[in-house]
Amino acid sequence: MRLRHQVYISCLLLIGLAACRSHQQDDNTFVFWSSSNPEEIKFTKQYVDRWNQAHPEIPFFFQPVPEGQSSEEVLLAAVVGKTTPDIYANMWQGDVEDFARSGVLVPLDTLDGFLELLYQRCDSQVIREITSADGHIYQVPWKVNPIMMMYNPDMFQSAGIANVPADYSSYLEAGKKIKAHAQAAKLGNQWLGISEVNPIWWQRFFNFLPLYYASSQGAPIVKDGKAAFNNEHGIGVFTFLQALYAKDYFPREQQKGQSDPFLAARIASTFIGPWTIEQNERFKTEGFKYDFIHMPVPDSMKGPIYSYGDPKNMVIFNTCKDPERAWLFLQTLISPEADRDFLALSGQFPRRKDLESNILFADYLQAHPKLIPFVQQAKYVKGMDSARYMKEVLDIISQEYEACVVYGQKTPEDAIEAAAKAVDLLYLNN
Amino acid sequence: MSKSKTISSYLLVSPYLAHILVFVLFPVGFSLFLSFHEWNIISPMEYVGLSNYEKLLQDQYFLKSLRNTLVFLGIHIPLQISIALGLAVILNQQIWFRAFSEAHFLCLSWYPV
Repeated sequence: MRLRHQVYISCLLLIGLAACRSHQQDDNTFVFWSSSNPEEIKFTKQYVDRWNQAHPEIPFFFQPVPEGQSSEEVLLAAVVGKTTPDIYANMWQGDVEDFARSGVLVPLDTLDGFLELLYQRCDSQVIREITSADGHIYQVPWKVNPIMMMYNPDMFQSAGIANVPADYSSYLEAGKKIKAHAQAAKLGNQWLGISEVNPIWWQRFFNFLPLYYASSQGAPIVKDGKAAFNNEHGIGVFTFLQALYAKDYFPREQQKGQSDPFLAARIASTFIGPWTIEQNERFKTEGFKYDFIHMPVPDSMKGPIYSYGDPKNMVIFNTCKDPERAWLFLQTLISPEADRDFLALSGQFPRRKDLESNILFADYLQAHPKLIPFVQQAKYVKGMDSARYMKEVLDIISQEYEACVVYGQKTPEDAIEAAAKAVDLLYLNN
Repeated sequence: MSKSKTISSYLLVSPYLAHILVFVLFPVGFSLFLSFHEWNIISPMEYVGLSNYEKLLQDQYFLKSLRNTLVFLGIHIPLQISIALGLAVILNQQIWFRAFSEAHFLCLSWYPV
């Protein structure tokens, strides 16, 4: 354990040093960190080069976020070492409140023209979602990747499932049919779906969170410093997921080290974002079909179906010498043309309200029809509540998720209540 | 003991003392200090009195984990002592392969767990 801590601290120091090195630029140079995704690097480089040619008096230096176990840890090390970039463009929304409360972010609503542009770009729900507890806004809503259910229509059809299962009952019924068909036709192990069982916080982005938002139409997880998920929706999602594992419709093992189980037609469905399309197109066998639909919902559900949007936003750190100029540059990255280029290069969606109606995006979407369900879902996505400790909250939910959903050691009522109690305790006296 | 011998004795144990100070005493002391504060590394440290202990006592898993630890120790320590003592007594007898067995046990204790 001690050795692990020593290695961890050494890594943090190395990351800090690496960050220092990258910061040793000319005093006038702004430093910009993007994610390390190759497509995003290509996009950012293109726009930084363009900016540097047009504004040599305000040069920008660009680099992907330094390597680390996670970008959150790298940022933490940079904040401690005061080596943060001027702008960071891949901030998980759930981290912003902690950074904002620590005073390391620039309140963007104090910058010239920020609010006008924000209201043009986003609807009031997004603006409410990103407004901090102190009333300021510290992030530019940049991109979303809605989580949806991907399914194999041929597997459903061969198992005698006429309609794509869209609610809890029909999804469980589909599980029964897939299992029976695989046994009768001696197809070996086939499952209705697969989801990560690891009790680490961010894995709940792909099961509990989108299902909870789908069931509750985007209700909060945390509200007024208390857990807000101890309700029919939270319990309903745990009950539904527990049944999937208890009936052996989802495997508990992760099938790692094998070929992609979905593309190998061993799994009929999975909960995933639009990034999977590129991988599917590259590795699928000829004639393999797949499609997308919203997350399964309770049988009585009516109205719009929400999902988790996995939003990543842009922030300006308080180490920035001139936030007004940094904001000028940021505006070039979120112009409609930049958003179209971003979509085309990365296959990720800009978080803007006119995605479906703006003619700029129409051509690209027409050429990539697989993305259209995601565009439609993007109208109904939720990110994270603007509250502190969201990672810890998801960690607590994950502990109970493992005990209840995966191993069936607790009833959904007890597990959700235990998680809610632990979350309330987290916010006690804060 | 002469003065030079005293100094050299202290010099000889100083690496061990430094190790204890840096990797045991300081972390324990700092943890105790931190337990009265709210701190996430990036914000200034804030004194919160006994608030963290209040949270600990209300934690549904704290008493359970404490009980589990005590049960584990209650089984582990008597077993460890009785088996180790029993083996030591056997190895101290005039038995065949005594030297080999002693060397073998010593080597085992060097291997990382």
